[in-house]
Amino acid sequence: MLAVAFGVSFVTFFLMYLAPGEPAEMIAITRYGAENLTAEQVAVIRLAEGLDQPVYLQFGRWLGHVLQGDLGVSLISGEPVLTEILARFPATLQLAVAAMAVSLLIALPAGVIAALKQHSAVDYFTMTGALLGVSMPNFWLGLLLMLLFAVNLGWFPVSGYGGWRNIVLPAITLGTGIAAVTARLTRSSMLEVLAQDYMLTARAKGLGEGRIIAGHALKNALIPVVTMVGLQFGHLLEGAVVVETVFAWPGVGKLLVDAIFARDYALLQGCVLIFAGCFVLVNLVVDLIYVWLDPRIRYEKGG
Amino acid sequence: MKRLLVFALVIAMALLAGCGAKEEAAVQEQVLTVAIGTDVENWDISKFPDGDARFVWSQVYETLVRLDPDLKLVPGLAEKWESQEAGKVWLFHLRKGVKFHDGTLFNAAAVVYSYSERSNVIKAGTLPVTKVEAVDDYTVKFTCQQPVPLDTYLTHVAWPVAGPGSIDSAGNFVNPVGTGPFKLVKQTKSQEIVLERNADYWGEKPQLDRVVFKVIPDASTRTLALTAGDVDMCIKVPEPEIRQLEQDPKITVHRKLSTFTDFLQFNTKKGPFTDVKLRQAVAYSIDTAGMVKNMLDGIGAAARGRAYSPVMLYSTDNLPLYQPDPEKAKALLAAAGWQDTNGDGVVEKNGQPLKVKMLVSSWSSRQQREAEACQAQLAAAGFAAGIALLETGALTRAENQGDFDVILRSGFFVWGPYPHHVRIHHSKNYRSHYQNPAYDQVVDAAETTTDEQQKRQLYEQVQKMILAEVPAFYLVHEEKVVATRNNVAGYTITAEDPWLNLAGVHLKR
Repeated sequence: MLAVAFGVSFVTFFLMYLAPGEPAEMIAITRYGAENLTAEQVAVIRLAEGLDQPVYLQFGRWLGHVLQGDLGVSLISGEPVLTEILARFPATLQLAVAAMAVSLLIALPAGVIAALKQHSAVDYFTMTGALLGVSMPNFWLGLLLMLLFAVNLGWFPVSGYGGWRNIVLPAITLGTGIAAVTARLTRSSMLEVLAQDYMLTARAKGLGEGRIIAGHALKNALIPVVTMVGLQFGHLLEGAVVVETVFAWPGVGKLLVDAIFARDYALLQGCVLIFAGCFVLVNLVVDLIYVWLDPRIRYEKGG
Repeated sequence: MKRLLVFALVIAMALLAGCGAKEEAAVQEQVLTVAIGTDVENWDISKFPDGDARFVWSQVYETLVRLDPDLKLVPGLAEKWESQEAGKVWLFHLRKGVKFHDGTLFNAAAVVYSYSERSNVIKAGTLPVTKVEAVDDYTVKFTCQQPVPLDTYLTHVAWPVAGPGSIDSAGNFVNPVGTGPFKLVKQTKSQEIVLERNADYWGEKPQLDRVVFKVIPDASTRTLALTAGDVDMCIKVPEPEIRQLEQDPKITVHRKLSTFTDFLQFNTKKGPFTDVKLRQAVAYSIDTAGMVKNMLDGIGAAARGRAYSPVMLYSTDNLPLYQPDPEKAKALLAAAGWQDTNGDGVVEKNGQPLKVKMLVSSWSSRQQREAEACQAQLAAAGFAAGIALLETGALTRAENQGDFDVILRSGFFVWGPYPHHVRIHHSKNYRSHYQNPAYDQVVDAAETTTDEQQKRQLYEQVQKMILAEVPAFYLVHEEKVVATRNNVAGYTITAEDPWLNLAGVHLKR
């Protein structure tokens, strides 16, 4: 966990250092406005923020503060980085869970049915749908949904954050995109499991078709799917910039991108650190689900 | 599996319920909802409010001198003002009986605080002021380094008067304390800003009880939110969507020529545009009227090289503006030694083709369209123009390193009716890329003279110099566009851009 966090922070810090544009100048633009800029202001900021020091010293200084539990202050808003992130994290978490729910509700049934009826019209239909889902740009689908369900039908608000109605359209937009991948994976994994000998055993035991599919086939087929869903969920927790921007959803994705464009090191590093933590946590949960799905997997006994 | 699904669903429901249903019934309250693109990141006068934040500032904070919808200077927090010592000293006589949102009295001390070392405008050295002092409780004296039209500076929305109560005893910012018609009640990061009527407002009493600014970053979403009726007013509509909104019977589109102009700024210190003939050739190649008509849906006015919007002070009607003339452009190129010898459509000199690198910010879709139009028309004249679409950091680096031939941009010292903008080409300016002592001298003289007749003549000379020397070729005078739903009554659009005029606005039932 600590190693991951350190590694990720280190890499982002140096990547940002390589990004074009001088941070001191970007900060000056934020503070004084682009048009009022003078070379002296930039020099003053460079000195005050320690940006004239070698990059490894800057990183060291930042690390020292983080180890004392201080993520620093955003250069854009002047608020503590932690406050900025925590203000947006609930929105991101809600959207991630809702989008994941939409995705699983579409993907699992679609994948299972497509596998059971391989090479049938249903199979081709769902897999074409999945292909469409993968290739459709999020912002475009989002705008189409808005036009139909918000402007023409008036069922949901166009954008914003608030009641349950607000989350429907962004969750569908985000969910259908990832559902496509999950559905394809579920299908291929199911096909593989269905061809196993133990499926024959289950049938020979005289189990009902429903038990066979749900209890034996699907449960075994889920292991790669869970891995994939875990990764997807980790990404969702980092925020979905495009969907957040289109739907004016106040999540961490847009915060992160704004931080990058403004060269707001403190905010960016804070975001990255917290995302790394989320990823590690999600991976832990995925591992626990493995154990439940396949009791042969036991971590404490070592392997 | 089923258990897992049920579990996931329960979590999802719980989270959704947590969002809370806060749909409010429209009672008798007058609540105007306005869509803006960026949040207010800062309320403190020690920093510069950027983006759409200034529209919100203009409701909370006020300036000493204000602008009417047609950019005429009118009394704001100062009732009257006069200059002494040929414009080096300015006396502002303050309005009496004005209260800040925290109940304290507006007086000379507040003005001194607002233009103290703590304020961004003084700290950044943008206001050419050496001393601000209270003569008595309601008179403030500003002393400047040289004669300046100080009243025009003090109209800037981002340099307003704030109450000393906005900071605590340790000097830390607490909350915005202004004198404006509305006061801040609540701000939810990246979502909305709620303002409430200031019952004690000194001027025309606001008819709206509350104004809610909704932060919607995507321009198309803002338009859709207006169409769907989620918001009542939308500031800044992209050109292609303006026509579409104009067709909507439920929506009124307000348009007015603003103070901003898009322009092509040349690198006159390096590369092909060190030669004035090539800059003139660009000016003769680009048809700005066609650009407005065909690329911008007729929104905006063709500048044809005019350095600032005709709505501004000291604009001259009979300037020798550019008419597109491809033959003249070719002749100028030829005179500078550039000719198409190999017949590939691109002119060459000493065997080198005329390559031009144009920097464009990736933030403005309007400027991107303009850049494409310029590229096509320059190609017809024989330039091989390439566009580099860059975000701010990358653009700034390219500009600092001189790694460009031309930049398409807008703004720079643009606020109010006074043509401060021409200072951009002054060699002292950080972003000038141009050096001409004669130009510097005329600009300095124009700014410092107090004789109106002479000022007019000098600014005419400045505009003519820009047309002849072409440190930049001016393309399009922007139009400010605000769209409202038809239930919004009494709105008058103003020419000043980051300014939203809500006086007299009310909602019809």
